[in-house]
Formats: sequence, structure tokens, C-alpha cells
Amino acid sequence: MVHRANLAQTDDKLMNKRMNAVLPSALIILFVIGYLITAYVTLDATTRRVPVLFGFVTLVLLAIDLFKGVAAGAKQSVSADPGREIKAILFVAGGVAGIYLIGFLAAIPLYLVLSITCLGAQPIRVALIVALIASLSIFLIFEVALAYRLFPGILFS
Amino acid sequence: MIELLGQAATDLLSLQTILFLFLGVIVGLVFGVIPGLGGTTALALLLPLTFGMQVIDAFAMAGGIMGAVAMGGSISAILLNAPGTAPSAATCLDGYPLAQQGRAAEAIGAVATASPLGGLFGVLTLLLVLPLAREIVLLFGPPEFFLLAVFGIVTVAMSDSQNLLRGLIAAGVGLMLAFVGYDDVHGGVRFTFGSNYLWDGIPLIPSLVGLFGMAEMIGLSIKGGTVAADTAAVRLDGVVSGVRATLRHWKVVIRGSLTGTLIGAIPGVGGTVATFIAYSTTKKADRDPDSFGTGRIEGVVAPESANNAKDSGALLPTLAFGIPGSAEMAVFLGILVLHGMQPGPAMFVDHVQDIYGLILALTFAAVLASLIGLLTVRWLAAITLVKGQILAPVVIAVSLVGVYAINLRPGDIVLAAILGVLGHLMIRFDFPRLPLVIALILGETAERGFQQSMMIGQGDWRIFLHSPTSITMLLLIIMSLSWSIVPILRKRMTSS
Repeated sequence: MVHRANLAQTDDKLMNKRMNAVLPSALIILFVIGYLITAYVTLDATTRRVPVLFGFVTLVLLAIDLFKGVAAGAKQSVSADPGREIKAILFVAGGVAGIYLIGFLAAIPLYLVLSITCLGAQPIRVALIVALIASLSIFLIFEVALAYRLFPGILFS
Repeated sequence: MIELLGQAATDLLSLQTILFLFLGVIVGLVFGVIPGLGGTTALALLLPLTFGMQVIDAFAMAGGIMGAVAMGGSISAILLNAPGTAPSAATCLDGYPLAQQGRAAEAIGAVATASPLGGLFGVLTLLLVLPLAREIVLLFGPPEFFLLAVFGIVTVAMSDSQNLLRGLIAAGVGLMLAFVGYDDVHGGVRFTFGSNYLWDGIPLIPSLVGLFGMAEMIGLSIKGGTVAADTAAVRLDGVVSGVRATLRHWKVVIRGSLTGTLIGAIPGVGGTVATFIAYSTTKKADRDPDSFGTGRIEGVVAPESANNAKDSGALLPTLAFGIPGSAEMAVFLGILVLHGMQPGPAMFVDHVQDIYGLILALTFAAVLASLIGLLTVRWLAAITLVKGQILAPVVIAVSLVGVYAINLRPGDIVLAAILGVLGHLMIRFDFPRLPLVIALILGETAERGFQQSMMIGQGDWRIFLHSPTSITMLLLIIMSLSWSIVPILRKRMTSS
């Protein structure tokens, strides 16, 4: 019984690894197909000549990679902590969204404090000091010394 | 020539000119260190300030910036894997792994030695070829440009022998992305989906900052810890061994410098391609190419030699024809015009002493920047000891501001973040990022060269065999392909 459960677990792991090997290629194939369809629909024959040529070459290479992935299994590393990975990506996305909405000078201290405390699990005091120093440096270098007008965000512009 | 050089040196060694040179070096280092800013921004900002200056002072300041930006850019490439300038991206490949091993000071020591050596080599080459400048630049027409672009892409894509297929796929995707935007051969826009932002194509600096800097920082914030994996092993006194290693690998310095000077001289190709090709050729020529990317000092020496040598190369078409070899040179062209100089063959008659002054300023700047870099290396290397949970968000924030500051377009921030996530996924799924970047840079040159060649040859493919230069380029491409594929085939035949 235990042996059978272990076998099932190994099968699942192998399946995951195989998925990991073929998933990126499969996704890029979809992207290339979309690219080629767009080229054929929106561009005339001369303008699309070079993009289509490279699109098809890439498609052939991807098909070989997909075949290799299916045949040989995966060599990619599975993320140790997918939850943390998604969280890190979401924090970057949130930071960019914040900059877009409320601008650099308001979003950056907020992003730094939240990232350092929530994602990095550092004390709030450290986060506040880092956020203050970094934001002040950015303000002094870009706004004062270089006279750039940093993006104020779509809500304040 | 020696007399003119002596005269130029006398002009340059006045206290006022040295101060402007020093100012240029400091500005260059600061702009180089901050990801996204770079020499072009620094020169563009200081261009109006040079108006009231004497020509030699303006050249000293511009030379100071151009000579020091490379050093600054490489410091952040090594310590944070966030290339301060585009050409420094190649230094990330082995510089950052060295920092992770606690050998950041050694890597910076190597940069501080390879950079001025490359600069000196470039200057000497420039002095030798100046009389032949016209003939050299005229060797390259559309077919040669196309073949050169293909050579660059193939060399870089095939440089990872463990991952040839995925390298080529990344190059293919990079080329496809390079065709986004305005088609300057036939007119019209492609793949913009109605977005005005994409009219100019995918911009390079946000792409580089995203794919290299942000991708690594996302990885660091997931992994935690510090840049240097073993903090106890961090050596802040490794500068001397970095200097020694560079001198020991003098062949790598010469090869990198030669690559930088030659490729830097070709308009539109630029320094980023030069540093990546210098890296790839060094890797291929090595007995153990697979160990590159894990912290080989030669992987720092080669691109750094090319990085400074390329400035002298890029000066050639700028001064001889008024065709800037890079964006930085395009701004420098503005400084020349501002001071009443008309670039072209006459420049070598009317302003020859100023040209020598500029060449010397570039040389002094490279040496001065290296000295400042060496003096501050102990403190700079300590950055690798800062916790990743603190460092990563700060670098991401500064990178986003730097990216925005180039063109003041909010779209650049979004693009850098998207490519940061893409870069992170590429690392995770074992796709090399380098071929994508190089294809993104060279895609436009390749397409323009191809379309123009087909127009000139009226559709006849033999246009790519019409000159000794294009035949040489073609042979180089075949050699590059076979260099990577033949050993793999031989290995398979032996094992079967």
C-alpha cells in the first residue's frame, strides 16, 4: 500500500517536472502563433516578410524544444516556494500600479515599507528608515539636482 | 602627430581643464552607477552648460563623462546585477556571480584595470587608423550591416553550449520583439495594437534594466539572504588579485579591446553589442566555456576591455563623417556643432589639435575613474552584505525612477516591470536572456540591412557575396555556427 502511494507520488513529481519542461515552450508557441496571425492580418506582404520569416524559424525551434521536453522529461528546477514567488511578483506589480496611480514620491516610500515588512519580514523601524533615506535620496538626486519632474501619477496629474 | 599630441597634452594639463575633467569623471561615475541613466543622459544634461566654455574644457568634461560612465555602470552590474549602462550588462554575467561568492572587490579590481587598458588600446588604435578612417567606414554597406547583425546574434545565441536550442529560441523571440513599432524601410507601424508608446519600438534601457536588474532583484527577494551567498567569505581586500588577474589574462584584454574598437566604429551597432561579442568570443576561445557565468574573472575582463575601447572606435565615424556610432556619440555630435565644428574629413585639418585633446581626455578619464573606483571599492563591496529583503525593493525603486528619467514616459516603468518578471521566468525555466537582448538591439539593423540589400540587388541573394567584407562576414558566421555545433555532433557520434 505504502509502496503504491510512493509510486503515485513519484509519478506526480515526474508529471510536474514534465509540465515544467513543456509549459514555457507551449506558452511561447502560443505567443508566436498570435504574432504570426497578427502579421498576416494587419501587415502587407512586404512589411511582414522579415517578421514572418523569423516567426516561422522560431516556431520550428520551439517545436523541437517541446518534443525534447516531452521525450526527455524536465531539467528545470521547480520553485522551492511558489507562493513566495507569486507574492514577490505581485509586490512589483503593486509597486508599479502605485507609481502609475499616485506617482513616485508617494508610492515609493509606501512600496518600500510594505515590501520590507510584509515580503521581507523585517522590523517596521528598519523599513521606515530605509524608506525615508531612499525616498529622500531619489527626491534630492532626480527632482532637485537633475531638475526632473518625477511622474506625479494619473490621479494627481 | 607626436608634436600635436604634446600640444594637446599641454592644453589639457591646465588647472581649469583638469577641474572640468575631474567634474566630468565624477558626474560620469554617478550617472553610470544609477541604472538607467548612463552617459547619454549625462552628456545631454551637460550639453547646454558647455556653451560658454573653451573647446578643450568642453572636451575634457565630455571625455571625463564618457570615460567614467563605463566604470560606474560596471560597479552596479557587479554588485547588484543591475547594469548602470547598457554596455555593462555583459559584465553582470560573471561579475555578479563573483559578488555572490564574496569576490566583488576582485571583480571591481579587474574592471578598474581592464577598463583603462581597453581605453588605452582603443586610443592607440584610433591614433593609428585615423588617417585611414574614411576607407574603413566605407567598407560597410547594407549587406555587410545585415551580415554583421546576424553574426552578432548567432555568436551570442550559440555561446551557451549547454543550451543552444533555447538560446536560439530566445534570439528568435528577441528579433520578433525588435520588429515592433515603426517600419523605417517601408513605412507604417507593426504590432503596436493602437498604442502610441510602441511606435518607437521596445526601448532598450527599460528592457535591460528589467531583464537583468529587476529579474535578479525579484529572485533575491524570493530567496532572501544577501547578494554574497556566504557573508563570512566576502573579501573586501581582493582588489589586488583582480588587478593581477587582469594583467595575467592580457590576451583577453587585447581581444576584448580589439572587438570594442572595431564594433564601436560601426554606426548603429553600438557598445552593448561590442561588450557581448567580446564576452562570447572569450567564452568560446576558453578551454572550459561552460564555467562562464559562474564567476570567471575573464568574463569580467573581456567585456570591460571592450567597454572603454568602444568609445575610441565610436569617435571614428562621428568625427570622420558626422555619423554617430552610438546614442552617446549623437549627443557628443551636438557638443561639436555647439562649438562651431562641422564633423567630416575637414575636421582632421581644421581641428586636429582639439581631436587629440579629446582623445587624451578620454584616456585620462578612464585612468582617473579607475583610481577613484579602486579607492572606494572596499566600501562599495560592502553593498553585497546588505540583506536582500532590504536591498531588492530599494534597487527596484531606484531602477524604476532611473528608467522613467530617460524619456519621462510612464510606459517605460511598466515595460521594465513586465520584462523584470519575464527575465525572472527565463532564469527559472532555463532560457538565456542574453540572446533576447542582443536580438532586440540588432533586429532593426538586420532588417534594414536585409531589405536595403534586396532592393539594391533587385531580389538577387548574391548581393550578400558581392564584396570581400561580406564574404568575410559570411565565413565568420559559418565558423561561429560550426564552432558550437560540430563538438556536439562529434560527442553524440562518439557516444553512439
